[in-house]
This record gives sequence, C-alpha cells and structure tokens, in this order.
Amino acid sequence: MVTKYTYHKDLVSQPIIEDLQQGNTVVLIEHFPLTDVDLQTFIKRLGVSIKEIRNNNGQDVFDVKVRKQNGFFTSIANSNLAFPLHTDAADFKDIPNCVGLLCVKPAPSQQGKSTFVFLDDILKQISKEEIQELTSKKWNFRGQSRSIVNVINDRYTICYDRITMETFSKLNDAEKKYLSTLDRLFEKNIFETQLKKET
Amino acid sequence: MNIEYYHWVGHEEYYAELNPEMSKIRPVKEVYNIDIDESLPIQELLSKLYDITNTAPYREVEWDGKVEKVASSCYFKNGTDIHDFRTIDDLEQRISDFPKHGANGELSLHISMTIAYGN
Repeated sequence: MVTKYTYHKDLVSQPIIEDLQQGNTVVLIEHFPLTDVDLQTFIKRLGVSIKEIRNNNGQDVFDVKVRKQNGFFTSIANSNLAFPLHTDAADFKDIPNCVGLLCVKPAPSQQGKSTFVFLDDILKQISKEEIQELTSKKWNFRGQSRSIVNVINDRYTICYDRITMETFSKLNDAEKKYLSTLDRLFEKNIFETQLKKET
Repeated sequence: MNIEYYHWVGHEEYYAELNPEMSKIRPVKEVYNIDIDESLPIQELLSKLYDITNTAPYREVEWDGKVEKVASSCYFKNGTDIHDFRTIDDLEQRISDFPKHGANGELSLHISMTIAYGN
C-alpha cells in the first residue's frame, strides 16, 4: 500500500511516476526538505502542476493550516473539521490526478492522520450494475457535470467531494442517502498514515 | 476611490464559462467608485463590496446533515498579470497600503465564494 523512497537531490523521478501511474500504492518520500521551492521543483519533475490564486504566491503549494477570518474558517481546507473522504479539486476544469502532502509541523497526539482508500478495493465489492450507476449518473460539482467514477485510459478514476456536491446543488433525500452509503463503504476500506516532520 | 473588482478569478473563470447567464449578470470585472477614507482598514472597504457585489462574508457549506460557515476569501492584485492575486490576510491593514494595479491605477480586488481549496 505504501512505497517508500528517500529524498536526495538526485532522486530519480521516473520510478515514482510509474508507481503513481499504476495507482495501487501511496508513495512516501522520507527526508523531504521543508520548503515550498523544493516541493515545487520536485512536483515539476513528476508532471504539470496546477497553479491557483489560493496557493502560496499563486504558485503550486497550498498551506493546509487552521486559519480564520471574520470568525469563520477561511476554507474547509483551513479548518480543523473532520470531513468525509474526498478527491481534491473536484470542481476544477482540470482535476489533478496526483496530490502531494508535505508535513511541515507535526500534529499533536492523534490528530493529523491522513486517510486513504483505493478505488480498486471499492469496485471489487460492488456489482456491475452499481459500477454502471457510478459511471453513468451525472452529478453537479459546482457547475461541472461529472460522474463519480470515470474511465480514463482504460482505468477507473474517481471524482468525489460531497461538500461541493451538496453545497452548490440541491440534492434530494434519495441522492443524499446514496452518498451516505458510499461514504460508509469508503470508511470500511480506509487505511491511515500519519506523516511525520523530519527532525 | 475607484475599485477594479473581479467577479471571476482562477478556476472560477471556468465556472463562469459554464454558466453564461451568470457571466451576463457578473462580467469578469467591473469598476466601482466607492467613497471611503483610504486610511481605514481594508475590512471597511470589503464590507461595502459585500453589499455592492451581493456577496456575503461567509457561505454555509453542507454535507451529510452537517452545516458549517466558511469565510469568503478576499484577494488583492499584486502585479500586472491577471493571476497575480494574493490573499488579504490582515483585515486591519490600511486601504492605502495595498498596491494599485488596475488598468487605470485602481485598487484591484476579488472576493471568492469558493468554499474550499481542493476539497
């Protein structure tokens, strides 16, 4: 489930790219330097990054830290709320197919766990009809009409962010129940990892 | 003072493209003339912009029966490129401290109603 590498400045990126393309492992790179520049440089060796105004200096890195304005969290990603399993940037025109997490500050005690699920594990547990439903029914991801499961280059991919789906469109009770069932299925198949800051 | 206000920035531009009716009501940018003392905190100007642009300081997000309020994110233009927007972190900072990179020397601002980044 986890493939480990050790960071050094000459680390070859191709095996990591291949691991990520296979899609059946999480890549863990230990001893990664704790700067935006190093992270951005490394990301560019793996693929094309998505720049956004919300990122640090409008570049490739976004700080996931608790931040409030006017008494409210500045985004879901800047909160300490627990929220369901999701894929990132579900409402973007181009959805990233890879996301990197870098721990720059250790979480206290039991907090800060990252929770993952492999789509293949989910698909093995549901019927063909259910897969058909997931690949055919369109949902509204803030203006983007997309299925939850898609087939890209003969591989299944998933786009799922319940918060975006529920907040920006009116779902009926049956649809909400369907998503809750999905959430429970995901929860049964999770594995957790806690990233550590280098000392 | 004149404010060059952007309704759609970053990936929200695609949201506008997908919703042409929305784009008619809210073009990419508009210039507003706002009577305000520039020595005041930027928060005062943003309060006026919430009214003018019919946006809100927060949005309610929902999932699985839960509701949470998330603040709107406010940005200023920090360069000449369309994507040179930066977050306004300190709402107490004076209006006059912000650079004016509008087409005609206006202060360029954007309020995003996006609830999340990447979530």
